[in-house]
Amino acid sequence: MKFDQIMNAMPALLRGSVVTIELTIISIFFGLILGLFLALGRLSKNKIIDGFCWFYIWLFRGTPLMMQIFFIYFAFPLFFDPPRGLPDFPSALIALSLNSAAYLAEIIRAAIQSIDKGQMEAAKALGMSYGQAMRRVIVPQSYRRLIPPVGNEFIMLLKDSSLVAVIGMTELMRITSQISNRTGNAMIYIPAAALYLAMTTVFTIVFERLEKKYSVYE
Amino acid sequence: MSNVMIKLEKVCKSFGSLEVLRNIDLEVRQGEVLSIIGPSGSGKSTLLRSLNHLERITSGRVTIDGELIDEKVDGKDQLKVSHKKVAQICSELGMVFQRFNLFPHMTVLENIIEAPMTVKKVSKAEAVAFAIELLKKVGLEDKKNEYPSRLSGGQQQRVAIARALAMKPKIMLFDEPTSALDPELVGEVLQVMKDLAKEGMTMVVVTHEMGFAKEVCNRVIFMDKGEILEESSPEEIFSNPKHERTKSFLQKVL
Repeated sequence: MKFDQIMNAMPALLRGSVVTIELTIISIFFGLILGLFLALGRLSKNKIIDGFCWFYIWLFRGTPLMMQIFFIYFAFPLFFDPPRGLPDFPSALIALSLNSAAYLAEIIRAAIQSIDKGQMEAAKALGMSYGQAMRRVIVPQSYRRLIPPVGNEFIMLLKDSSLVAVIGMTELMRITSQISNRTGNAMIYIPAAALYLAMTTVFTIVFERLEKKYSVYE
Repeated sequence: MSNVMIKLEKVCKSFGSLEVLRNIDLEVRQGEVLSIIGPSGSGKSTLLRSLNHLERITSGRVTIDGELIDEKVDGKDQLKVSHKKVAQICSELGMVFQRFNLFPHMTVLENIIEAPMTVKKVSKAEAVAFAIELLKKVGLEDKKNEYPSRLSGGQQQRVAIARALAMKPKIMLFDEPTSALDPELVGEVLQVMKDLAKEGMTMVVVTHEMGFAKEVCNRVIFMDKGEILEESSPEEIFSNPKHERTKSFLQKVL
């Protein structure tokens, strides 16, 4: 493969990388919000809420992500008459958010449960409600413990986002395979791999910085 | 006669088949400093914790400052007041824990102003002004911007006392406040507690510090196996214990 061939492909690869980053950041954002509610639901004394959240996590961790993507893009529209589908980008976002929420929920639940029980007791003894204690005392303390596993999940998601190529999303993976098919030169996967590594490296450093920032009080 | 601040009637508490409190009757009056002594596992801490809902009793009644906060008959909840009301009554009892339980992600000052601002909706300026006053009282004004992890155990416990006082409690509960401290740090915490007692604060202190019990308390109760075995003035209980088990306990600790 010649250098100028790579240079010619670079703009398309970079555009694909931007889509990959967009998908990952937006999905982890919604995944964290939904994951927090699922985690609180799993910790709830209400058996129905706990059961529902358990079922959600069981469903989304127990089936392949690719199947979930297919389901949301191809099968979900069939529930409507006439069939009404979503475009590829929102479908991909929904699938990745729902899937990562299941994993993040368990990460968040473990982090919350690792906070010393004395903290909740102290908060209650000061007259705080359960909600106030969670919001002001327990959840903020779990942030630092959350950062390493969430960083892990983020990087997994960045790579797993390549799966949405199957529904035609032109993220980095799909663009690379298109170029490879068009030019007949599979060596294009080398710069594509370098771009994945560059992205994961940058985000690894971001998460290390965050961890330091939230460690000031220890 | 001053007001009865704490009243327990026939209070029982079990964890599964384990009976931790058996038929406890107790009254604490305003301004009284009561200390609870006894071997570990005797139910002292559980008794203290059932006063502010950290433990729910299995049967009996708990009344704080005339307000019923826990009542069970045959394990059935008889309590008719809302969660909010209970939380409000419980916030009138300040609690100090053996392991301090300061909020590690907040500075000393933030620890103290947190509950007044979140629970009582006091303005920040007012909360800070009162917090500084309390920090002066426990001698830690210069540490206000430190995180708890940077303080010694004794300093942390003094902050914890200030944090509890920030809610302007009517009663202070101490659950072995000096047991987790290095011996040379015990004195500074006891001094703060003595000052509080002098100001007329109603206090219940679970302690292994017999010196403190002797010097500061008006009344001492000795608990063993979930029961109050003996109850009298400190002079009486330390010089002339009536019960055999009190005698053997005191011999071991004094």
